[in-house]
Amino acid sequence: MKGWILKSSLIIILIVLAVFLYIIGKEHVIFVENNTFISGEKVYEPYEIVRVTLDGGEPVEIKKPKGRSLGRSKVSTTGLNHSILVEILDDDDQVIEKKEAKFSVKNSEAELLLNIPAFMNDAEGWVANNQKTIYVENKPFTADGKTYEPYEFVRVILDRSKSLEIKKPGDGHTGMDSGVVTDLRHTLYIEIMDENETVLESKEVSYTVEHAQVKLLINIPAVMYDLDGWITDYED
Amino acid sequence: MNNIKSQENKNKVQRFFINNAVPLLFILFAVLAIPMSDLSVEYLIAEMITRLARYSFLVLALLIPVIAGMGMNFGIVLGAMAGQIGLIFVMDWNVMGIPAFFLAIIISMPLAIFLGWMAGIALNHAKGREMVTSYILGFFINGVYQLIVLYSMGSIIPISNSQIVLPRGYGIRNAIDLVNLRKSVDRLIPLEINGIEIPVMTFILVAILCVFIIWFRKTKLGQDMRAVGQNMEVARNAGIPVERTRILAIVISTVLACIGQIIFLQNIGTMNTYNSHEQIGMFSIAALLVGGASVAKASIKNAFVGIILFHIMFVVAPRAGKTLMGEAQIGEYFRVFVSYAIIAIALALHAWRKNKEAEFARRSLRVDADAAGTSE
Amino acid sequence: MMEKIKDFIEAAGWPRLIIGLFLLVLFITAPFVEVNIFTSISDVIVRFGMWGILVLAMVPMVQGGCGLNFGLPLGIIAGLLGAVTSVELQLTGIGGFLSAVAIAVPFGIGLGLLYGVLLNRVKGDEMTIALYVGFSSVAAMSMAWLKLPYKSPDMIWAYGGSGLRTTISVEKFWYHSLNDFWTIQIGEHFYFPTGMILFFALMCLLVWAFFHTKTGTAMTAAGSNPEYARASGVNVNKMRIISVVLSTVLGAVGIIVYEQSFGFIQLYLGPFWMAFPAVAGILLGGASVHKATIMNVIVGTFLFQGILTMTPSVINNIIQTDMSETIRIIVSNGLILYALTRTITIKSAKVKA
Repeated sequence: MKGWILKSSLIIILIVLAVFLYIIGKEHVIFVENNTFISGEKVYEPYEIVRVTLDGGEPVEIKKPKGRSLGRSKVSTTGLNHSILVEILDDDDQVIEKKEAKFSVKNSEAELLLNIPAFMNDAEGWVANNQKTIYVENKPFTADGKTYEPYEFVRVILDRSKSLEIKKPGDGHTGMDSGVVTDLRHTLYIEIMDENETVLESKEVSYTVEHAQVKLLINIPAVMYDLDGWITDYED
Repeated sequence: MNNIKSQENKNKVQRFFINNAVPLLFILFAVLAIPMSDLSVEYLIAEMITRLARYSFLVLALLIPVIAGMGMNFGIVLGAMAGQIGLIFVMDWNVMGIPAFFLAIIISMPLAIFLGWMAGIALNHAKGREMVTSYILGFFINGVYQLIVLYSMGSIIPISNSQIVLPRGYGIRNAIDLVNLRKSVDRLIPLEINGIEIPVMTFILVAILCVFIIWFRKTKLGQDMRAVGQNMEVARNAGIPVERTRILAIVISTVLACIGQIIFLQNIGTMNTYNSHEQIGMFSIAALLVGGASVAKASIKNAFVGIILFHIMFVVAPRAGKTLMGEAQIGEYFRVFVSYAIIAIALALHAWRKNKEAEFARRSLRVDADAAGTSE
Repeated sequence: MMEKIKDFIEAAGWPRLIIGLFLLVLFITAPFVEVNIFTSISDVIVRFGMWGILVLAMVPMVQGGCGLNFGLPLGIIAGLLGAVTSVELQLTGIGGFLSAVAIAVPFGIGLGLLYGVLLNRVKGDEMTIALYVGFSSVAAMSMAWLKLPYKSPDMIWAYGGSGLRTTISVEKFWYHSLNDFWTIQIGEHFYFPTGMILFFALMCLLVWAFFHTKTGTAMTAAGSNPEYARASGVNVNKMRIISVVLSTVLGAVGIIVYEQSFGFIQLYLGPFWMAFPAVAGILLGGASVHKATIMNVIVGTFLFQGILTMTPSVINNIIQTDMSETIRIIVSNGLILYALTRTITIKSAKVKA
């Protein structure tokens, strides 16, 4: 009897330990960027030079984006809780402004985007999941009193790599599918097809996602007819 | 009187040479071949420190089955495979550093225990043929391992990290760069002497294992194993659960091998998914035998001496072959030849000794019987 | 009737029946998964012929009390020397095949003698030591293949010329010289290598005859009960050495038969693993570490090669993936494992009224 309790507790301890190790050991890549931040109407501009210290590590200097440089630095971290120290520098390497904070990430967030201007201005979403879930729906869209019908069968390609095939709702089909894309700038390629997989119509659009947006909803009929609101935040 | 004394000394010397024939042979080889190979002493020392860190845990895993009388456990390959599966998952989940190391151990442990248990049962059905059976068992489980890693992972078993998956969409790649935990244990406590990195933490782990083995020998289970190893029937009559004890010996060995393989791989930094584990059995056993161990008796000292001597041969042979014969290829085959020949010689010597002792025992019985007969 | 069936089952043993039934199931399934049954049967027969003599080579040592011959690579090396020399001498056809055998036999005898003397010193642990003697000899021979003075351009490395190639084709020499002897070919798919099977039958006959001679019976006695044999005046050590030499020579002949069917001579590490399918074959046929008959050889080789041929092709077609290599590893080693872990049941004698 006692042996059984001992063995079970040992197993439970090991499982807990394993989960703990998983959480503190899992890698989270943080892209620290000194770039423009847009959220709705608010716009924050990047700084000339900032010096960022993450988790007390090596400080990194990031200039504002110029030419092809994105003004980003990649830092690999582990665990959920982090600290950040940002120092805004002037031309003589003197610190004009300084801000420190602690933040935590979710275990499921493997890649994050941390925006310095947003951080300095306490904007919501200054650090957010860089992996965005795009929900694509092939459902009716209403605008200006008119309703635009879904198509029989569409193929949607996200960022030229992930392909989704969505039939119109009904007969067990939900009329919706989703895929995960990384970072802010994306392309969407749509092919409207018939039962024989011949392409009747196709269209490509490019779009940019805001830092704070993590889940988005794209409506196919709306895209095909160029209607406003074809891409919105996704509410669960 | 003097004749008897010198005869005794001659016997002692003879016995010393016979008991330690294999290590002495290897020392002779080293003395001859090292100058021929053109390798510097610093290079050899650095190599030996690395190889000791890499292989000690694995070779020490072999000791427990020897105590239990089960010979050289080729089944450590099973533990190695379990460890590798654990590493694959850790790489898939993107866990890093020391947490990754321990997580890999924890998740491969159930598999290692299961495989060890199965191996123990198989070996109990093949008493007297343990070494050959564990050898074949290694190959068989390798087939099952391929079934899991080459075909099921990425298809039936979801793998999200596409970097470790083959281009065809399922199955793990042949070589995985273990960036996540490369040298994570070795470098945990950094120490450098003369430009040579010393993996302090790894040696600490090895030391802990040595202490464990020494302690284990003194526990009841350890004593039981020794009894089983000396004579199964006598042990059974004394009430020791022989079959269960043997299975436990193999399970412990397999689990230790699992940890040992993870230590080995974090030192090398790359995992050859389908090959890293294959030669582990042969190398570890050869090393142990070179250190003077036999099928019936193996100690911690044998392990360390053996690793150094065997790996000196391993490193030096191809170069010496090139110098001697003009072709490095000969040295490569020489290396394979020596690895297997050493096991053959060690086994043969052990069997020859056993036969001689049995004969001696028979003869002394006859002498006693004669003496008893005549005094009647 | 029931008695007869029961007798058959006891004689054959459940394991062999189960495996035989499994093989039958594979044969029956084959046409349904688009595997041509006639090609399959021909494949199995050809492989049976290729391995037959190598499995037969197990019998003398088992009967002589030396255990399973894991050192078969030694015999194979003798055979390789014969084959390679025959190619060097540019001999073709059946003559070429026979000369390869003729050259291999003395090598087989020589190596067998050394091997036998060694095994006599290590009674009780023959099998594991044989295993490593086999491995080390293959490695040692690999060093030799690099340096032996063979000159034929068919066998030497093309550029920078010294040392034999790893694989040597015998197509120009005695490829299929046995197989094509009196072949029976029915339609496009069925092919019976009469010559090879006849040669195998001849070898079986020779072995059977040998064991009925005085030496043969003495060897069996030495193997089953060394003490009793010694007391009866049999030189047990000499019998053991003869059994080892016989096994080695049969191994030498066997590999040449294998090569004439396969089409290639495989040097260097080629022979490394070849003892295992032979051991598996005989164990599967019902032999034990102490007793082996020619019937064991025939049944076992057929079952083993049958399963090894059919399982990958059928399973590959069922799941539409090529897993042959992995399946082969699992099946062949699983069978050997199974045979090694069999507990030997002693059947009580039947008393007929």
